[in-house]
Amino acid sequence: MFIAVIAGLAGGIVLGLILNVVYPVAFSFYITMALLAALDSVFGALRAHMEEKYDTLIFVSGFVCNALIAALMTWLGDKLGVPLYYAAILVFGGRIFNNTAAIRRIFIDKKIKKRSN
Amino acid sequence: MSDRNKKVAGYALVCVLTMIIGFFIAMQIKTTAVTGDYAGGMVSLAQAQASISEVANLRAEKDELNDELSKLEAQLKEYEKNSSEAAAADAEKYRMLAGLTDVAGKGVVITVDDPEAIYTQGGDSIITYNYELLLALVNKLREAGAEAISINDRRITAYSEISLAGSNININGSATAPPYEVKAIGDPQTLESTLGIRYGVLYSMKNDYGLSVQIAQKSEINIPRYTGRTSFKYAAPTEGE
Repeated sequence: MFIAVIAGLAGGIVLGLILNVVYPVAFSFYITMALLAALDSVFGALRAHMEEKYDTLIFVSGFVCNALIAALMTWLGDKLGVPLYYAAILVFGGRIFNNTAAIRRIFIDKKIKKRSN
Repeated sequence: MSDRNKKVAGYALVCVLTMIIGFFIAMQIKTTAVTGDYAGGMVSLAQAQASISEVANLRAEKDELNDELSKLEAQLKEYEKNSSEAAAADAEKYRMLAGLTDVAGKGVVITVDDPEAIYTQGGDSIITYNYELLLALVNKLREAGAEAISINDRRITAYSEISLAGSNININGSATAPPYEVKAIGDPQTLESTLGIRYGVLYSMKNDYGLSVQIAQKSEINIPRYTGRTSFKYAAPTEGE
């Protein structure tokens, strides 16, 4: 699972750098928010995997829906003149911290268990 | 076995989706790198838009205040006219002295610019970093009896500064850049011959600094008024002597 995530990220970054695609700056902010949501989904998936509760359907639907909603919310906020993207930053940013903390704990638990065995 | 297949398919999907994330991250980095030079780093769309609207607001505000100023001054003039002829003439004279009226008349226009090479080959503006030359020019114009002076339409008053601020020259608190067009109302003949004296300020600009200097006599020059405010915080008139 970890290998899949790291390989995917690395592959994507390399591919993006090689292909040299640049999108209009106007979209940059929406895409950043969608990225944050998607990253949160990935961390969520890693955590679920560690807890042995991982479900592909939940992961994929969360990945797509969260990214879309984050981008949509940012766009709507721009139109309304209210910084709605704060909601996305707070929620997804906070959840990334939660998830990484959970992953770390499970890791430590497993390692210590292994050692004591 | 099919359970294991499902697991592998799930991992593959994770791999593909994270790859998409990585791809977008790379694109984002590229995009901000392209625009970063100009913006001096990542400036979010919302911030940029806020700044744009702020500038627009301030501009509108400035226009409004200028309108208000001219309205109030028109009103003031009306009052003065009503009070007495003599007082009105007096007030007009002091306003002219203070540079608070647009004035027109004959005089000279001097255009000072950096040498051609600065524009074609780059480099710091010579005239901007030697702004004392402009001060010397203004001083000479006054010596020659100029009655009204402006640089790039910034009226020179008794309180005007000509000073370097960053890579611009500030006059009356507002930034300006070369070419500097100095207008002076006065006797054109006297003005030009005073300035054109050998080893004088224009001579020095041309020969010591390599600047491009043009001087022209004009029969009609318009010099705008000073639009700022002068108020006295520390100085107070003293009685008698």
